[in-house]
Amino acid sequence: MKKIFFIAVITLLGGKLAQAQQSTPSPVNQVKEGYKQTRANTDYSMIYLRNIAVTDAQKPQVNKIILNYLDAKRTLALANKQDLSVYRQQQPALFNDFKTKLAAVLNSEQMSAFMASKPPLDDKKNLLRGLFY
Amino acid sequence: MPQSPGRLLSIIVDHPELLFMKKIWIYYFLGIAVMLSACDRKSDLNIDGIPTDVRIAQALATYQQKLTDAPYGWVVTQYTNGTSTNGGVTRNGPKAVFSYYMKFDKNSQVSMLSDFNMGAATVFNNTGYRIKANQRPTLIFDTYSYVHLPCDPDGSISNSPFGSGFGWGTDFEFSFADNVAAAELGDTIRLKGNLNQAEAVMVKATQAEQTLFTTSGFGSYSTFNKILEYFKRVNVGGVIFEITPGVGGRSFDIKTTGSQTITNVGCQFAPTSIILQEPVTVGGLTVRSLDNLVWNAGSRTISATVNGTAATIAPALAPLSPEPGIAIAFYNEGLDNPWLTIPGFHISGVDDAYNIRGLTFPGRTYYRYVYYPGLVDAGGGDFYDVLSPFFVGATNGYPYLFAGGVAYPYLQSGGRLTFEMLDGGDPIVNPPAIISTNNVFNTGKTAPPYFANSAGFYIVRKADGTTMDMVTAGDALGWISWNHQ
Repeated sequence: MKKIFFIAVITLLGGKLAQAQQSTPSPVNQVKEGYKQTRANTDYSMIYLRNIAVTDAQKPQVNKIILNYLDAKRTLALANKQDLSVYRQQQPALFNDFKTKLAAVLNSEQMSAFMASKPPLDDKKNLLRGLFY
Repeated sequence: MPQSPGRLLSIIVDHPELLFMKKIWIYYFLGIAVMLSACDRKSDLNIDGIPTDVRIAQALATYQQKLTDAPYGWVVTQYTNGTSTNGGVTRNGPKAVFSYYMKFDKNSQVSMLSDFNMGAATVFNNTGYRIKANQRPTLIFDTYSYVHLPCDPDGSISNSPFGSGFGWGTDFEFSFADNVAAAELGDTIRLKGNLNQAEAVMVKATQAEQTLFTTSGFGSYSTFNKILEYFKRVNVGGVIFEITPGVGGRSFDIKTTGSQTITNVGCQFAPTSIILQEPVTVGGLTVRSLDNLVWNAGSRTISATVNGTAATIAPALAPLSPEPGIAIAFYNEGLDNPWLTIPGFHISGVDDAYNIRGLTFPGRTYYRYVYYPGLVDAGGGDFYDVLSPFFVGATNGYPYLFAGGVAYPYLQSGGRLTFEMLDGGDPIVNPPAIISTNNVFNTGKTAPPYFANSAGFYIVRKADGTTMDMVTAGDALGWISWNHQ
């Protein structure tokens, strides 16, 4: 009886070990998964509202709104990458929705500062283009 | 209790099996006696009257004598087989050849040179060695030496492309692999590595070779590496070909004018020659070696001969036969399959010049430098690239991403790729290694003076088909090797 129990434990441990080895993600998958996690946990208020004093209470809501908006923009862009005119037509509606949600969290002064930070269309090296266009 | 004979007889008559048991005992004791006599040490383990221990000691002494009796030392060449083993795990990677000059003495010391790096190529290293009876007679380099450098599991020492924890698949314990008695070994001795099975060949050096090694070390290695540029152009009587470093830098990738064929070949450095592992045919010319290498400081070129014909080796700033569309192909391949590297830029002859392998971040461990195109929203349906180190151990694996790790890519004329590293506003302070690396990404040069616009990078496909080198187009003095591992 003891032997059977011992063999069962060894078999189980061996199986778990083999499973663990098989499920070790490749470097590429590890890096990709790491990016997804980073993207989900980034403090976007620090990047896109960098000159605006966002309170600790506002931050989680702001970050969630920005992340959802970026997700929607990415889906739209990738679906229309052969014809970006479709993207350009539909992006303003996404932005208006985003602006409405953001205005519900930020006060009017913060919101005005954010809208004033809009970069010119041809300022291609300004990360804020990612929100406004 | 004593029994009378009459009583014993009646017992045996009643129980005859007792008599049979007594016989068993007799046979048992006889058997033991035979077995013990068979274990007599004086009989069959002696050969020619010499006990085993003595014969082993004699054989080991003979092996040592063979090594020490070479008056001018040995030229040792180690060939890896493209695998590296550590802790029972084996990884595949590029093959390599490492060459040594060794002089063994009778006090179990060996002095050596190696073509591992510039220092080892010219400065003798003294280390201990032993010859020991393992499963086969074994030569062990038992203190850290040039032989150990390519074995080192620390990639910052071995510069191995096999990943953290793995050297080049070389060994420092070798079995004597010739199936002859020690006394019958000649001027060539074959060895086989005990862990990685890497083969090594020892050839007795001539007096002339010893003189060359002691005066200028692995001169061909030192001379060839005086050209620090990535592209080395060889002209042999009008036949032109280009040498770039093979993956990991221990072999040559050879291309010719107008051809996209890449030939990878191992190279063995000798005092004045570079011997190719296999002959390479270039424009009707069969190249087996580059001989008589001499550095010309004034012109920054190398004079040489190939098959007796005068040749020059000169640095070049651009590829001889750039692959059409390679930059955009490189970008597209990385879109859902990020490009990775462990070491950072090789700059002016120094591997991982900014010590990217040594990057730290609290609570995290450096894993890979990542080029992952098309991820960060750039507006208007465009995306910036991630060009930043990735760490494991926390949810945010890219702590420097928005502090300069977002790249704005641009495809330039001539197939060059430029980057502008963008400030995302994250106040985190970049360490010097990342600042220097980003500076190279920004400028496409390794040092000032910088151009008004970035020179960008040439993308060069390697012979393994899975590695792409990114070479500074501004000076060709810096490069970083990307793959998906």
